[in-house]
Amino acid sequence: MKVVYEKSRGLTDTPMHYCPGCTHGIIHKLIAETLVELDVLGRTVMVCPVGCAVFAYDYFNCDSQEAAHGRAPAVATGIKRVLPDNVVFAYQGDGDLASIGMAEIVHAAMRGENITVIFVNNAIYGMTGGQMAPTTLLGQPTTTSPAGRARVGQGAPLRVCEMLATIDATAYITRVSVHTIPRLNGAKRAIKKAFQMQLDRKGFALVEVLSTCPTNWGLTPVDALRWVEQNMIPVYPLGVFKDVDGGS
Amino acid sequence: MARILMKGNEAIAAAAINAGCRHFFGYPITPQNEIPEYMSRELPKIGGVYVQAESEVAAINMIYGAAGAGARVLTTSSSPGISLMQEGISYIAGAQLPCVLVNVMRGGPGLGGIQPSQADYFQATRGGGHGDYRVLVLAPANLQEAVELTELAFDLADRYRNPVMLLADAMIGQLMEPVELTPCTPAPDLPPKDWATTGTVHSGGRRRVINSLYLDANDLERHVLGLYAKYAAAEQREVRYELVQCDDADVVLVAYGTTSRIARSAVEKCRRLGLRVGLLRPITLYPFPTVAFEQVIPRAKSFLVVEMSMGQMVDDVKIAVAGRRPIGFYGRSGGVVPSPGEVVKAVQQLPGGQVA
Amino acid sequence: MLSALNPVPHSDSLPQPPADAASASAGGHDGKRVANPEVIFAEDLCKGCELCIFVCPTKVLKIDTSRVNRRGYYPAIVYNLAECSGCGSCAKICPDSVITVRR
Repeated sequence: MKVVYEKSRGLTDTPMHYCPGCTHGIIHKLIAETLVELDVLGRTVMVCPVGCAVFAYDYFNCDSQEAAHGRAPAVATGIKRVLPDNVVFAYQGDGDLASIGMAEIVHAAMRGENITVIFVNNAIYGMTGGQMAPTTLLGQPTTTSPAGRARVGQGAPLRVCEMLATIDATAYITRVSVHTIPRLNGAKRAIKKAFQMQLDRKGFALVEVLSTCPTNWGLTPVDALRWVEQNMIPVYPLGVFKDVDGGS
Repeated sequence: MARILMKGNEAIAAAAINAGCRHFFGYPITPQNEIPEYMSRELPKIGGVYVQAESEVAAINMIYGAAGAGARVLTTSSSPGISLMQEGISYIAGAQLPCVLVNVMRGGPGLGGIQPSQADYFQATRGGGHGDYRVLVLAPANLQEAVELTELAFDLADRYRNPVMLLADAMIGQLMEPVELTPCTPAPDLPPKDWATTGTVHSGGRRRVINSLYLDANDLERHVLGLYAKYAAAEQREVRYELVQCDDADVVLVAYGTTSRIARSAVEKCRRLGLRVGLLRPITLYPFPTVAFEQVIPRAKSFLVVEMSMGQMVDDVKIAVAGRRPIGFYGRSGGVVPSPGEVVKAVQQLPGGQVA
Repeated sequence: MLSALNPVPHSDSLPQPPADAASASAGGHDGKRVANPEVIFAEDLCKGCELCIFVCPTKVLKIDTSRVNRRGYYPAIVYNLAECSGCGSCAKICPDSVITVRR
């Protein structure tokens, strides 16, 4: 019997607290598998966000630091500048990265910090109960946009990959999803490439993963996957926005 | 080693490097820009790292990460920038990380001014950010002391796993005095940094987590009690102060930093006028030198607290004196530096208008 | 709640997830059935989210509503192992790493 799939040793035994069907669990697995496959788990330091993934330090089998809300890229900068031979990655949600942390992510990218950032975009603030995020879609109802996000007064969703790709010192900027197996496989390839960019010291790499929030979207987990296909991808196209290796 | 004429800001930066600091993360703000500028020149020469952060908010979070990775780290700012750092300082204290902070105080509140001030005393000594914690606070009065206290700050930070702040002001940052930088090594009995996130390869597979989140109230209380056990130890061991001519003083001036230099001149002027005046100069503001007041109270008839603020340290003096002697206050605000003559006049007015 | 945007179809109008060519590793999914794949659920970790059921190309999984696990969820199970191709898609998508697949 050959193992087709088993739980990665990059994860701890702690059961995850995420809601049923939440894509955090899937993304955690892809990262953990990548760190094991690249044989860097023992020298990895993770920076955890404030958000549903605040407890990520309980789930990954590596050293980690809990950052203040939005500041993970700055914390990661501090770690990487002290430990340049370690693998340092930040894991952030849409409030953490695109709202309070917008300056930190832009400037870490501007400086070309040799870190990897995984950006979990589910168009809503999950942990705090479903408020509007910078990435909330027009017309999408949330607890702070009960009539649906309106362009007048609340603006339009922020496309982080497109913005960051304009920054010169970025090495790899890509948007992926995990809502089908082929897309999940593509996400894993992108995550692996983003970590390889760090190992090759090529600069700043970010993978935006379109994700679900079944609880705050008010959908079943499976319907939430469908919602990614129907509603998020038209606004947030998948693809590679920057690749110093020239890939696309 | 020779004595060099240096600007205060540069002396502090040089002292940090002397103490083994090789990582600086900061942001420009008047009147301390010579510090990041010095660091950006000198650190790369010795294999160190200078990062100009996008803001003080980012800088303090870089400090958190770098401290958590085990390095001796420094950030510096001035009053408005230190306000921005308060959340990060709370996190650093909560996560029990060592770091050295320098506040070169300027006039406030708000954008304020760029002249010297001491109006951040409350912010520095009362934690400053949210939650139950303290920051050790050291207040130099001259540049040689600034050098020595900067070097001490790194040892204290490592010993207590806590932020330590050097509370200076624009005068100290900008004036030039001769300083001597003697070779300096970390204290030999500092605990090892076996909590630093350097990778599980270094810890036999045991994960290290730097964190300040404790959702269970009993866990958080236990954690805070542990922090306060450290502060109690610091209160026993780290108090520093200076007494000048207090043995026969009727009036004891209480002042720190730049104001203590003015007060020292006022003591001389008063003595020439036949007034028996002395100076109690706190060097550690937290832990506050309550014990110094016990030494001085038996002989002294009254105290005059002199600050470049509307009165902040005076509250700690009132606590230490506990109603046993009248306490006067003389302060200037907005960045105005008092003259020795003003202080003498304030001393002469004491019998009539005490604040107790 | 999200009716203002494109409604979520409750049919399978989303293209059927194709059989996972990438799990072809050494075994390969070339239409030949591999004998007796092993699909093991660490059942008490299951939250009944049904993502595994959604991606299974041969539809051999279902929610067992006859009982709840220790977390209070109806767990997912393999009810027709004979039709299982051992592709591992269920295990791959499970957010809680409940499933181990061997073949």
